[in-house]
Amino acid sequence: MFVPSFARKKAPRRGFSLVEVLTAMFVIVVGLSGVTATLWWGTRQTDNGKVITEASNIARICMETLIIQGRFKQSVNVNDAANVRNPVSAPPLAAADFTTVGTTVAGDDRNIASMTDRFTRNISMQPLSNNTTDYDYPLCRATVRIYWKDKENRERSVTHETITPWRDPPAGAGGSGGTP
Amino acid sequence: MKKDPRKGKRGASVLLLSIVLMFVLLLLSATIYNLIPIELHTANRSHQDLNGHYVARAGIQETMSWLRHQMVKFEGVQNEQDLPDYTTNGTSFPNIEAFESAINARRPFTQGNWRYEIDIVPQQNTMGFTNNFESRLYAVSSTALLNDRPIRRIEVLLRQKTFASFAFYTEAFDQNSQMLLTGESKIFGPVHTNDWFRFNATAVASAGWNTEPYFTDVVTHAKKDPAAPAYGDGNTWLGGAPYNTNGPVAGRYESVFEGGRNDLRQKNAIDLPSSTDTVIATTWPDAASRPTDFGAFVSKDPNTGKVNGGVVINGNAQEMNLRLDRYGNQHTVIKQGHNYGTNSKTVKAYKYVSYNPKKYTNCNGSCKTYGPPPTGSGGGGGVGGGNAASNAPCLEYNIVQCEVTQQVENGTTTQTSTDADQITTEIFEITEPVNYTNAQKTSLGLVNPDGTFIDNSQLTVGKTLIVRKVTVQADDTTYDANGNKTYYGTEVAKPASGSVTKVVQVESLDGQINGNIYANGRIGGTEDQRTGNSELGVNSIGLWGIAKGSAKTDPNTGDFVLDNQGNKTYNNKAIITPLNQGNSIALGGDMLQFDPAKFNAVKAGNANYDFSGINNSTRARNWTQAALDPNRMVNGKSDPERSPTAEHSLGLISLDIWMKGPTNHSSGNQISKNHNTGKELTGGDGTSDCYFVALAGKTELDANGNPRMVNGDTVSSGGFGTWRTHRDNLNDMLGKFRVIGGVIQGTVGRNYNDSANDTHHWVDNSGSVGYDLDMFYDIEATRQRIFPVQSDFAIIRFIEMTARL
Repeated sequence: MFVPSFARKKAPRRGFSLVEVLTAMFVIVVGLSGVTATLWWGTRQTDNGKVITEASNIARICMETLIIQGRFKQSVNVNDAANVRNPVSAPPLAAADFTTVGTTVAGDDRNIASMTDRFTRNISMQPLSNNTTDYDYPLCRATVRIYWKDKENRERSVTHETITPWRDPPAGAGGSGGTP
Repeated sequence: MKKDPRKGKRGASVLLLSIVLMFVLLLLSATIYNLIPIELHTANRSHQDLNGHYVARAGIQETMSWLRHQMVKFEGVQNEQDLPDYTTNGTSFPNIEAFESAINARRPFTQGNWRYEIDIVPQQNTMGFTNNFESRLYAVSSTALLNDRPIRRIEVLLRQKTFASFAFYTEAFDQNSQMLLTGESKIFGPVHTNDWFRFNATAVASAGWNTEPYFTDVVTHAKKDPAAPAYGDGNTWLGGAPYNTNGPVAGRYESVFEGGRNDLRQKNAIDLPSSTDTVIATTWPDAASRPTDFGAFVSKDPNTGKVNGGVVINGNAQEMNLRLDRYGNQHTVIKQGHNYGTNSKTVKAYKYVSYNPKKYTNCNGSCKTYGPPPTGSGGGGGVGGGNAASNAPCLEYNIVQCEVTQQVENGTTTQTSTDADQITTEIFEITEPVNYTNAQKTSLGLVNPDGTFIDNSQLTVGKTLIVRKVTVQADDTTYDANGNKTYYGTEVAKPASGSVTKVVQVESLDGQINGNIYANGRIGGTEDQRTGNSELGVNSIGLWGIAKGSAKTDPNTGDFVLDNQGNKTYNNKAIITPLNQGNSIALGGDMLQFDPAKFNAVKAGNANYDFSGINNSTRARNWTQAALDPNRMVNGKSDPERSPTAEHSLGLISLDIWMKGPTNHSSGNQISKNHNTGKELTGGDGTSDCYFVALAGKTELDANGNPRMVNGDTVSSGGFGTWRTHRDNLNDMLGKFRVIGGVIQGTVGRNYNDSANDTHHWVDNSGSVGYDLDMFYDIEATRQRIFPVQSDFAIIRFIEMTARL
């Protein structure tokens, strides 16, 4: 009997067994779960990185503003109460300190004040010495700490610390001194 | 039945395929895992770097505070062991090493394990100073470390601030003085007071606050007027204010300050130096050979005989004239009156006695009838005009009888007379070749004590020639038995009549002075000489002329120090009188500045040009041909030429600096005489042109060497101003000055503990006593080689980099 070649070669098609399919699905689900978890984790880390960058930037603005405006030197009490979280623009800072200067282009919102909403701050200033004969009598340690809550509602923070003049040295010929 | 072998293979292949797929997914996950947190790591690292910046900056700040602290300690007691760069061998610096050791062990921060390490390196060209007149330079490196791992490094170059950087500074602004805002730009440069200003803005307000700004740079004040309103700026405004209750009024501050309200700021007080004692060591390095005799002397090495310092003047100098000789060399003439000695003689004495009987004559008694009071005297007058009568002329007097007496001999009395000889020291700094003829030598007095001409070999380039001359009078009484006086080993014979001037000493030294002129006495007389009274027989004129720097020479070889183009380099001149001796410098005319470019141009056009001559048509000295032009006009406005470099600028340091400006005074006093006799070099333009940076003032110290304090403020003395007894004479007008450089002064009021009316008013409360002053900031002149420095340091170079390994 003549049997066409294609009919002869055609083997009866068999599907995968249920075990095979389940095994394959399990493997794929496990793999996809790993990828998804990684993506989810990565997204969170990316967000954390952005927030840290932003918080660090705000801490820098606070520190530079306090130094440039001479707030440490103006007998202004810049210390926030210990463990208190104040709004970033609370006195002695102001909302204007977080507003960009220059001409604002339409649609170009460079006012970063709105970006400070999620942050709080604590500023402290500690004299290095109260002995007028010490060289570091005019200096203080300035600490700016910026806080925020992450998505798990855990408090996180960044800190900048430096040493800066805050009061005049004792009067002495040839140098800065006297009472301002 | 035979099993199909493919069946098993197919199942394994599915599993294998799944595993391969899972592997690919895991690979993808791993890639994502590694890639995505990079932003987090970057953010953390960026934050760490920023914190490292602040930590490193803290180290720089602490170092600057320590350097300042050490300089203040030094300024108080002048102990060189307090200097930060104190060294005994030039290689180790015990103060710096102790500070570095202490600071590098500190953990001053609360967050993390941050600290900094400091490295301070004194720069070689400023190392080993023992004075507070030269800016120190330090390279400082501060490295921030986290858990002892370097993160960030800042390297800075620190330079000590100098008082020369101000256009105008006054430590105290006396409350009886005002700064008269004229509506024109007058002060071009930084201005500061440790007080607050009293601005008189009458002229600006009258012009509707639409005037040129009086100040073109930042104006700072350390204190605020307690009476100033809270909405003001802390200064006193008279005749109108640039603010109202709502704050600054638009445009008003801009009429006074070029930068508007932002150019008027409050900043720390900066106290003046208290002493100039340490600068003597830079003028006369060999303390053992420092002269104590009267006269002017050039420092020379006791062993080599080469010039190794500057000029020391002992005793007062009536005149110091910085001239140019005919070849363009600086020729300094210092005239001093000297007490050679005193002599006593017995003469008849007289007394007045009455005649017998007494004789009388009619004379005027009290005033009987007064005339009308002079205009503006405040009214009153007339017959019996009460208090105001003292201002009115008397038309008729009551006649009374006055006794007439006679003079009769009354024994003898002893009279003591003092011989007032004049010593003139002339110093030639030979940097240009000279070829004096004998006639010119005769004219200049370039002869030896024996009368022979000074040989031109003593005037070769690179030498310093010192010629001392003495003038004696025939009627002096202290000649020796042979009729001579002896100066510097040379006898000066009594002239038959009048006076005679004789050269008594000539020195020709290798090398050039370093530019310092240290005067242990006044330059120019006190106010008593202003009216033409002589001091020791010589009219007091003061300082005038044209300042040329002193060429730098190698102290070992005496050779000129050349720049890269082979040109000579110069130290600018600094004239110093000790602050704690209360001396003063009086300015008797124009004080111009040598301009090498003009000098070279003139010489190129006429090699035989005589710089020492006078242009009779303009009455201007030929020096002006080689001087910066103070009368330059740019776009119709006065804009004097400024210093191209600091090499020929002039620094003046004294407790008081008095200006004797051209005035309309009609009585022929010393002030107007000075300017009618050619000391106003630019041809009698009615203005004293002054190229210099002047510091006139000091911080007063108490008995313990600490700054004297009153009500919490340091006390200062000294100042810059018009001749003190002259300033109150309204008829004299005010004197007009143009300063190209800067003025740093102690007070616009009176000196500490000075009971005399010794004020330095800019303009007093009447608005008519003071001086008319234009001040043009000269940035190159601020780079004075010798000038009081502040204890503070400034960052002049800043580099920041990563320190991660």
